[in-house]
Amino acid sequence: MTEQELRERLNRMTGEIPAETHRVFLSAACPGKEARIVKRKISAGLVFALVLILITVAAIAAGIVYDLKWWYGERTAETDPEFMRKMAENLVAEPEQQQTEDSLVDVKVREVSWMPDEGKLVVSIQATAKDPEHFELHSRLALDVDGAYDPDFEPDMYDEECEGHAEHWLWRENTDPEADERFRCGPVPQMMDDSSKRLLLFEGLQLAPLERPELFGYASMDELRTPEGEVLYLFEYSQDWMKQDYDRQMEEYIEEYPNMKEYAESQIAKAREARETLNSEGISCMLSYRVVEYIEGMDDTELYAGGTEGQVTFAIRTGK
Amino acid sequence: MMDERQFTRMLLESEQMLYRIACTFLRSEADRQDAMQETAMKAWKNRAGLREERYFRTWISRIMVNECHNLYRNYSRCVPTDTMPDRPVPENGDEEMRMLLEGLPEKQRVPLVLHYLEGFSLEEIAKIQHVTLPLVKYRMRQARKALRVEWNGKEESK
Repeated sequence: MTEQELRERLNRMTGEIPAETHRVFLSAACPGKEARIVKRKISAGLVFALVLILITVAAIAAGIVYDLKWWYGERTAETDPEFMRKMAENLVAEPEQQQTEDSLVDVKVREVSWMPDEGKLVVSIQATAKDPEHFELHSRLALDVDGAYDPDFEPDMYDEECEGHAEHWLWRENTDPEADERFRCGPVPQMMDDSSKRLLLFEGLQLAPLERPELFGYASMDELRTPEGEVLYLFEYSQDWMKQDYDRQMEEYIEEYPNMKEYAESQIAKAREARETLNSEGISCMLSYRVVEYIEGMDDTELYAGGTEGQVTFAIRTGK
Repeated sequence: MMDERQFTRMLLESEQMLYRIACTFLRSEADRQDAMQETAMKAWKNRAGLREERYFRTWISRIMVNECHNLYRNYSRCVPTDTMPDRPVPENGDEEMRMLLEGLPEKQRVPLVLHYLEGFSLEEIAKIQHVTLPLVKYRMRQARKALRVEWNGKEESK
């Protein structure tokens, strides 16, 4: 095969961008509005946790209540006041819920706010080690945040600017207000509060309706670790299909992007169907999570996909 | 620093290239969507770090490669192969080439695609991948050699 043949065949290999991927990219490529929270997405089956922002230990002061008001009012700058008002109006604290038996962590849904007018659903959850005397809990997403972990890393093969490393690193917020860098990171044992404890890593996997897991679609996600050692997650779902003028917006979208007609029409149909499924009893949902104990030198597959899974079931009151 | 309109234009012009890079690393379309979205957002946040517009393609590719690394290392390799969704193949797509390419290790596959598909020079690839030029050359040689072996094997078996 000549180089020209290789080039031509590579060109034929990759197809056009799928409509949904194009749509996602378009929305992210229009940066007029800064993301209110760290964008991470959750697919129907799995949390694809992208690591834009790291675990935060918001040890600013004792006594902070990490509720939704704090997430949007303090942690996130310039939240739309109307959004804040709607969120407060629709807020349900600690909805009735049930966690499957778990010997390592307590997981609970702290707050839920279903905002049909805003096309948003916001859910915060909290994970706590059951035995903090012996276990230290962190988010699994605080591990290897920079993607520079490479078990086969050989320093001699890279230039000096390369940030690769062959051991796992843990990310922590630097709590020293005088520090130049907001985050600090390094090999796991060095980053733990107390490396004599056993390290547990918590990871939210999926938050979805029980009967129609695809309904919520993608979410943005933020997370932090409190000074008390709790791991908190915030899920924000854009549920545009809930809005009254969703269909009209999609029709305008078709006018702007005629090549997306088929995709947009299918979205309109799905939205109509989804709206019809809402009823006065709300939506039964399930949060699934995973907890793995980190052991230095452990198998990476076990680290990234092993451990034990648990669930919390709860209901979202849709108010219809 | 680039203004919003300029940035968006350049980003959209790079969309197809970024998607092809994503396809080089990631099997799942959901992963690719994540990588595309995160790349766009990170690029906007860090646009002040781009000193000259002419380096936009190299710069944005580097961000995409890093994003793909994150996703690939954290997730893709953990997905059992029998549950992996197939990469969409275009009509008249070169499925055989895709299979050959997928047989290569990532370290060889990526420079090959960046060079032959996206037209990056080997020096640019070294910058994108944070590696030395000799290492890029070495990996390219290895990749071409592996493809040649695979290709010849397939031709002989026909």
